[in-house]
Amino acid sequence: MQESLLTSHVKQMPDRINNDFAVSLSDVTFSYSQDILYEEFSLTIEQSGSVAVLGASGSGKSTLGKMLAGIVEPRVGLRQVHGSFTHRADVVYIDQSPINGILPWQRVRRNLEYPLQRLGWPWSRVAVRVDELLSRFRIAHLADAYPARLSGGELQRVSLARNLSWSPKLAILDETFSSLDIKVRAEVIDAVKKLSAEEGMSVVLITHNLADAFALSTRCIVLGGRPIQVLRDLQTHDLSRREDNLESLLADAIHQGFL
Amino acid sequence: MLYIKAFSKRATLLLSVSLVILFGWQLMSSFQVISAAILPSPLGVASSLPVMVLEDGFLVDVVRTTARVLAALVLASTIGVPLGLLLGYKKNLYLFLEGPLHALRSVPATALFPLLLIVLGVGEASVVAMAAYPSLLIILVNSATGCALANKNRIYLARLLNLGHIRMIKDILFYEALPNVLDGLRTAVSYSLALVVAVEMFVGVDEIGLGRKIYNYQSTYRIPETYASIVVAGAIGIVLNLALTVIQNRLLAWLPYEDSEKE
Repeated sequence: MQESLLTSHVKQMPDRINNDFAVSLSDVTFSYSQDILYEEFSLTIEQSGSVAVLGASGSGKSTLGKMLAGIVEPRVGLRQVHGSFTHRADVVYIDQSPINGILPWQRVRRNLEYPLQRLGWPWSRVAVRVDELLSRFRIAHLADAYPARLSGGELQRVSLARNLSWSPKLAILDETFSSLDIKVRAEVIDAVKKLSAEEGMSVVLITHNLADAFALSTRCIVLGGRPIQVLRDLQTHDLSRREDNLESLLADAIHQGFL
Repeated sequence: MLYIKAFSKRATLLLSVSLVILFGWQLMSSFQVISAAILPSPLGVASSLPVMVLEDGFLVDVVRTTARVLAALVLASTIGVPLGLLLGYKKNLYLFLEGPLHALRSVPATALFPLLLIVLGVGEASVVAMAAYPSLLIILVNSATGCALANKNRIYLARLLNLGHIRMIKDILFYEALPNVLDGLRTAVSYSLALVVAVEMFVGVDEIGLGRKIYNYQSTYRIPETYASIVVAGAIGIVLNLALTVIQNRLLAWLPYEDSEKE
């Protein structure tokens, strides 16, 4: 695990694949000891889109997210990222527990400044960007607090602000909104949506919540089965036009047991 | 602040327990349960303190012993923390050194003293090195463990930033390990004090130090003074420990109340 973090290989894409993709998995196989999760599984995430990955608990969604992020490597198969992804920080994975995404010994403002400084931003730009993020995520009043003193919703906003601060090209959000109440959830999704639209950031949202998926994403992928397959792959703008697609998605969701 | 509350609660408890012990002690000597030649009364012990301070230069001994303990802790931390963090950071290095380290921990510090005397000579250097030795191992192992327990996801995020080795250790792993390091330091204080006092007794560097005083009082049958020195040695331990608790709470003010971030 530690080793794979160090050596997550960034491979250049061959020309034959369509040019709009951000990251793609080709014929990957992944298993935990005897349990085969993925077998010859392929998935492509386009650039500057937002994709929701839906599936019941234990359906291997997080593993998919970590494979897309390059945190875990498939046993067989290929992960490719677009040629424009040159820095390791171009892809970021944010997990469910916000304290895992924050340095708890740094105050909120410092948490936002630190990655930008380390990525070599000039100080003038850092200051402007941090103020912008503080207001975007409505955490300006928390700037001088230690993360441990914040509520779960506040923490998640700080974690998102920190880990999206440098405008990664692809953000993988693993159940990031699950612990938030409805009001905060709507605010945070809105903030991420705007950031994504304005800065051309692709978002993969891993969730078991259909409402979150529809609120943020233009494409919904439903995972299921073992080995895991893509059961449905729909554009959300189709859904509003064609009732039967929405119904089939819901039927899958109910069948998978996450509604 | 929660830690001040916890601190004052601790202090109150400490004070009340001390009073109970003193009271029991006074009762025992009042009713002559044990001969006053062996166990003088607390008042007798207390009344010997002014004489010790004024005539025997007792404060000099207290200061010297405390200084030796602090020097040992500083020495142990300056070597132990960076080395422990490095071992925690480089897993292979840790695996390589794990065996020798555990072997060293099994060697009683006192067994090394004759060797230290040959290498460093009879002097402050030997006392401090001796007292630093077990503390160094405790702090080193605690730093390495703290590193190994570091939050995996935070390490992943730090790696995204392409942090150099020094940055990784200084900015991330140091703080991840800090709770463990400070716990180790508090254990180390007791070890260091015990060793400083023991070495002073049997080597008596410059004839100054609490251990030397205890030994001298005992060998000249000044029993109340012997007890008073022992009580003072205990008090030094308590004060050092409380001071470290305060420092610990200051340095860890950012820690969540329930430590839920380590999974």
